[in-house]
Amino acid sequence: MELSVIVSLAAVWLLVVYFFYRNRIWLLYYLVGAIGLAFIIIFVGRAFFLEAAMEQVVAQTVHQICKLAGIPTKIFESAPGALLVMVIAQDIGWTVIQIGIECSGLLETSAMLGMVLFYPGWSWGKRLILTAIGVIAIYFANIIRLFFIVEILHHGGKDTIFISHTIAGRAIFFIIVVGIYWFVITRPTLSTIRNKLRKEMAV
Amino acid sequence: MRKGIPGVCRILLATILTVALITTMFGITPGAAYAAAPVITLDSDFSDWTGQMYITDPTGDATDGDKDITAFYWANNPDDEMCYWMIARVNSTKNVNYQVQFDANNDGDFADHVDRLVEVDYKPMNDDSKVTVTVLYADNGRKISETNNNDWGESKNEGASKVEFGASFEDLGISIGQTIRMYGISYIGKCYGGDVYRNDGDEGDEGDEGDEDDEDEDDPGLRGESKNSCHISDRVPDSGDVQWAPVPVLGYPLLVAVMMLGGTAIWYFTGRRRWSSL
Repeated sequence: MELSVIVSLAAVWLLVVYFFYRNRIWLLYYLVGAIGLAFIIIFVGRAFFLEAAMEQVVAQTVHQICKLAGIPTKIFESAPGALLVMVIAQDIGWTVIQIGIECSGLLETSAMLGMVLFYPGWSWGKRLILTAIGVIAIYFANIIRLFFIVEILHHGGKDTIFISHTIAGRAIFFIIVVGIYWFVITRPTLSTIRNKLRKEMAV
Repeated sequence: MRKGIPGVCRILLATILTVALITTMFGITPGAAYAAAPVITLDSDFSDWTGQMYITDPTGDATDGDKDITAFYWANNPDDEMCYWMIARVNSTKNVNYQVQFDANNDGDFADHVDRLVEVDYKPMNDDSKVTVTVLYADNGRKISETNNNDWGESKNEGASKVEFGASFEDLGISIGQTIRMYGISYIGKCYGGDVYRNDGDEGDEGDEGDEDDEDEDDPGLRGESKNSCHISDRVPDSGDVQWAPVPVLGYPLLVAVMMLGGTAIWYFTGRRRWSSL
């Protein structure tokens, strides 16, 4: 998507969010704000360096961990996100794991940022803390997912690519991310509500 | 000043230090990704292959010295439904034929009707080169497409080592996101209709002494030769293949679906009671 289109859509989004904020229409403010911010981060990230940088960082981290684990892998400067894994089951060969937008963690991070930063009931301090925790936790969740995929591929062979990537890897990541979202969003929300109810009951 | 701010600062500082520590510890340098990856163009200028995906092959393991492959590169460009390859061999001025065996349905069998062969006839000249690329059905060797007399290789004056070539997704019979397998060979004769292996034994230890084994019909290295007069000089990788999905897939429709699910999750998990109390 072109930059001019992104900027135009972002301007419209800002106006709409401001309208809901000024008129205290909190449900729509939160929905439009959170989803809009997530989309903007994703589109801007894809248009510029962010997505490639995240892919490269994830690939490099997994590559280094594989080195420690004794699994031969290669990364490439001009192919951001490509991780070449040696497969030792059956015939020895290589499999390229392409760390794209889905495996970079950009989607989950963007969604989490939107949900936390636009939550109307929290102070900015709390939002920043939760954001920092969430971003780091999602990064490590992604590393765990990819290392798991590499392990299965390396020892299980190329026929395991579908099971390891599409099913097992996603399932592990999904479970961890749900846990992270619970810790970063649901749990603090329940705490906020509980405190509010206690105060109201005390009055 | 609000009570919580110093705590926030401490946590943010700790976060920054943690990330800095991790990146330093692992030697992570995301800066390389900031620069756009070079676009592959078929023009006999091989600088655009620097940093692309590749595997190396040991020298001295080919039955014919001038067909000894040293590196096998592959890549594709954004928004370009083409697969590109570059093969490097030891310096030689002789002509050479390469083939990329292409398992389009990722089942480990390279001789299905959906599988393809990309044949390269590389003729280095004094100041340029002539490269013919032919895409064939893997099972019967029937031609799908051909492009002739392209200057896509190094000239004799440049060492005649490297040649680059490509084939469209359409000719290869694949679509975006499809996982494939491939390997490269240098060869003489016709090679199709089956998985082909090097002629010099599985491990290459015996080198040219593998001629005796050439009579053994159980040797997988002979399947291609006995059927199609195929003499494999070198193979990369030496065993197995390279599995790759040329373009990772997660298009905008799926992206929108993911975001819609996210929106629903926001509403369901966090919003309902809190909003009603505001």
